[in-house]
Amino acid sequence: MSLRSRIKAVVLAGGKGERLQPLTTHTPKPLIRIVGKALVDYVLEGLTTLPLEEVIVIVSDRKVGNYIVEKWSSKLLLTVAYQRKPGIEGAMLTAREYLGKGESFVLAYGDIVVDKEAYLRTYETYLSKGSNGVIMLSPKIDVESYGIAYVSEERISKVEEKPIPQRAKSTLAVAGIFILPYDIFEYLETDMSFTESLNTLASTKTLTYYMWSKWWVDIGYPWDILEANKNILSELKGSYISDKAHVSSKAIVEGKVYIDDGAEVDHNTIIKGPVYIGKNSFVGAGAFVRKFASIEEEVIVGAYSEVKNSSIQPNVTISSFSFIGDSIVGSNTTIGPRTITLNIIPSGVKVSRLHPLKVKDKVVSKLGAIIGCNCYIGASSVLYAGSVVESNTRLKPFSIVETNLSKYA
Amino acid sequence: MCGIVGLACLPGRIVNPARAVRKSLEKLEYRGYDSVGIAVIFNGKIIIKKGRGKIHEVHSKFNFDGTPGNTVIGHTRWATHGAPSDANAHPHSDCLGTIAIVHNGIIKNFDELKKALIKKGHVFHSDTDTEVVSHLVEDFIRKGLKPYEAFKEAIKKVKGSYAIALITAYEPDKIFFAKKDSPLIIGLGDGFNFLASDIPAFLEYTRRIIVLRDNEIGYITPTNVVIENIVTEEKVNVQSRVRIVNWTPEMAAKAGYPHFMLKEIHEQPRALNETLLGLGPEINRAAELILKADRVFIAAAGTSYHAGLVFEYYLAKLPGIMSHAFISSEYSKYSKIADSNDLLVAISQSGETIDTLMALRLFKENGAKVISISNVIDSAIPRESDLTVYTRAGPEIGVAATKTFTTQVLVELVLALKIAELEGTLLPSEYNEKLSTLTKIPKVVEEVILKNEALALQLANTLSYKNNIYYLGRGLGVPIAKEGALKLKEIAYIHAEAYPAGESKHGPIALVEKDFPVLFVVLDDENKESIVGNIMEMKARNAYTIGLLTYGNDEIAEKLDFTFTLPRQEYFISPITYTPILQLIAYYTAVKRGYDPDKPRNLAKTVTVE
Repeated sequence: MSLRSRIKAVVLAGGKGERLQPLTTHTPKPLIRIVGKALVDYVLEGLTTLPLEEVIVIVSDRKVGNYIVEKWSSKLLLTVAYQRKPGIEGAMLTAREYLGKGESFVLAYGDIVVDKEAYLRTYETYLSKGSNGVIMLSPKIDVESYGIAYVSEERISKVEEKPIPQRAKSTLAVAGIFILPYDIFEYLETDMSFTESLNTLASTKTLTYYMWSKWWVDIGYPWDILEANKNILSELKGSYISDKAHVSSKAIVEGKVYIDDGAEVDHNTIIKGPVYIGKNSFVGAGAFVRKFASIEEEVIVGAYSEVKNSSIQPNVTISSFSFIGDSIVGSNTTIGPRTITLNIIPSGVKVSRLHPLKVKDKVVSKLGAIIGCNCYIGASSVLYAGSVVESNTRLKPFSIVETNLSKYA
Repeated sequence: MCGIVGLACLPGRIVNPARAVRKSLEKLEYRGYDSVGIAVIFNGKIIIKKGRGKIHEVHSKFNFDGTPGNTVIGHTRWATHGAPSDANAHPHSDCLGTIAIVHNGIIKNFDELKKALIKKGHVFHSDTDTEVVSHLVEDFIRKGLKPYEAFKEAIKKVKGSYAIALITAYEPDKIFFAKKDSPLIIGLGDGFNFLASDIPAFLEYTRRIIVLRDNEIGYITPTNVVIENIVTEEKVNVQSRVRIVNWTPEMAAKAGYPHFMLKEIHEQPRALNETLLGLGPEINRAAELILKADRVFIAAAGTSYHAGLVFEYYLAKLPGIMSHAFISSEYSKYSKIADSNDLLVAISQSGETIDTLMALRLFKENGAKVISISNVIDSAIPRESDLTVYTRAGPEIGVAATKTFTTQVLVELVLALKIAELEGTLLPSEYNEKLSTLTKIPKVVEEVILKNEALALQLANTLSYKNNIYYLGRGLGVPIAKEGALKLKEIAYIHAEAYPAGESKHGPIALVEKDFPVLFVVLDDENKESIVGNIMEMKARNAYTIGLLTYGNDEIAEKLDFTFTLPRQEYFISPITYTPILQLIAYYTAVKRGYDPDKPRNLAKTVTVE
């Protein structure tokens, strides 16, 4: 009896990442760095847990294609294809050409960060349930920013895209890992949306689910990067300091840290983990790097600066005496000395998926600045909580940037 | 739930086929374990070995491994129709002993089929629903049909859920199968083929599988597989359906969920529905016994004790009957009190809890009557009771009780309503109206779970860093709070205590300081206003306040730091609808803290030592 023990996977790594602006003006979304890896690396790493015949990655940017081929072609049998029509539907129809007719396949969104076990468990569910398809689900409170699934009697009965919270009767988000039958293409062909196609599958075939109960982050908004950083860093099993890194004997390193090749940590620096310091980065004398800071490669943190719960993308310079908290700084940006980010969002400003915290009896939303790529922030500037600096901006010294999150509302 | 296995094998390809089936059944023991049996075809004759008990017990009696033959079926049972007994154990045969069948599921129309077959002269040997199928097949064979055709005709007459494997002496190398709503999987070997309820059953022999779908029917031989759809009569392309599994066996049983506990929380709508449908005249008899008794005592342990407190409340508030719930292990306190006019309600999921059994024996020795509520048919406590009302939650594998609690409460509620009707506290019309409310419960629970699951995960992020938590409620909210606290303690290992909310200022509140979490169970009952006062006094001490309440209580919700909301409902169903949220909170907190909720430290599922 002939058999197919292997399955093909499709990764959707196209799209512009508009909700992530201004971080994606120069770096395509799949290459945004999260704790030392590109976003798309997390997905491809997850797929290595499956018995795959081939991975078809749909991209819309050459940089992404080149990066994936260079990094992954020795580990996965790869096909990189360029998306011709927009949207998830366009990407799916591009992918179809690389799948055998009638073949079921694994579908993964290219922008999710989750333990790689999730891929394996979803696939196992497909094997043992005998259903036509499986969707991984993850409980999420902000239903208005996800696709939401309804389940009953171990089956998915309906999928709803970004429902109004008051009307949504489920909080189970469609979590970007699927096993789908080839039939989905028939529906997409007739100009159905992806959600409509899933609903057609749910009503005409059996769609089951795998319920993922640990953390799962869909990188849609800038602060989702902070959420992913925090989760990954919290799970550091122990400390790792590369042989090729240099940590001054006078530096204080506490808690779990990952200090990558070529990184340098200068005298009297205090590192309080969990923290990541990327390749060839430099943390200057007296600097204070606190928990959930992820400093990606080739970054300079100047003397006496403080960084906490932030994502510092590659090639950023943070000059001396600055405070960067709860912020995301896009690649190639320079922050002048004594720049301060504030981090408590005024009440009344609401944006999607940013979770309020209880701080000293008050419920507040904490977020610092979102600074784009290739910016220059003049010395002694103050960036209000939730301020957004567009890419390629040059700010004079002593600038004040006010809260402006309206584009993410 | 039951487990079935079939193996068709070329001579010598698997050294001892009966032993292979016995070992496969052991892998399915989680699906049921009250009786077990196998049937083989040897020299054109069917041999059946079966009996009541766990697999190793029955095996040591009959020596399954010593049975010759290369076509074998087997079954491990979880009783639904007919108590566990040697006669009711599968496989079942026909009148001539030329057929043997194993079945997992429930045949809904078995009663009418059985009557018709008896009229035709068929003789039944068991009380099971399953046996009708073998007689039906026999009937069609007698009419001149070939075995497979007869099997197909029989299946067409059957309504309900089934995974069936059937062998006949007429075609000794075939195992016929049919599947609807119960799982059935084919394992493909080289010179042998398996059938089983779950994949781990045959993983030792093959990893090539076909997961059968509803309405599929066919047969396996050692070298061939035939599948067709019984409705459309289309043949299935067998090769296109083959999948290869390469993972740890344990996963298959809980497919779809990371843990049994989460699976069982989600199974509650179904478990409640089946429990409700399964209730029969025993409710009336139990109600009469309770009405006749001078005094009513309720004995239970752990989660079942919380169900006992709910029952005490129901009896007080619905018919207005005084009762007393106590923790089973404290039974000796009642040695001079129990007498022949008393009635004891013993509540035990497993029916084997030793403390509850001891309490039961004490009351029986003093002449009291005993009613039990259990999930396992004919287990020790039901066997020693005068009457048992069963929950139909199916086997519960997670150590923390979830679906068995809510189904116990459902049974108690039906019983209390019945008593109220018999006693005249409820008019028949009111009784019927309340009963019809109960049929909506499974849907409400489903809604509650879907709507609150993400909130539970969110709250778990906060609770996982805490060392203490209070659960407070009033009235019927007290046992709900107690059950929530127990869940958090037993799987997330966080110190949790539950009190009547009014009691907090008599002591416990002394411990409350800034950010101390306090969870309030707020019901739509007469206590709502008082509990708002309790919320305010906790807020005044800067506690982190969490509340479960129904829609439309916005003023209360505004006072709380974290809220879960439920649909508006009659307050008396709330132990069934509120508790799943507390189960989810405990589950996600355990997972967030890195613990395995299915295997809490120091705890066993069934406590059979004092």
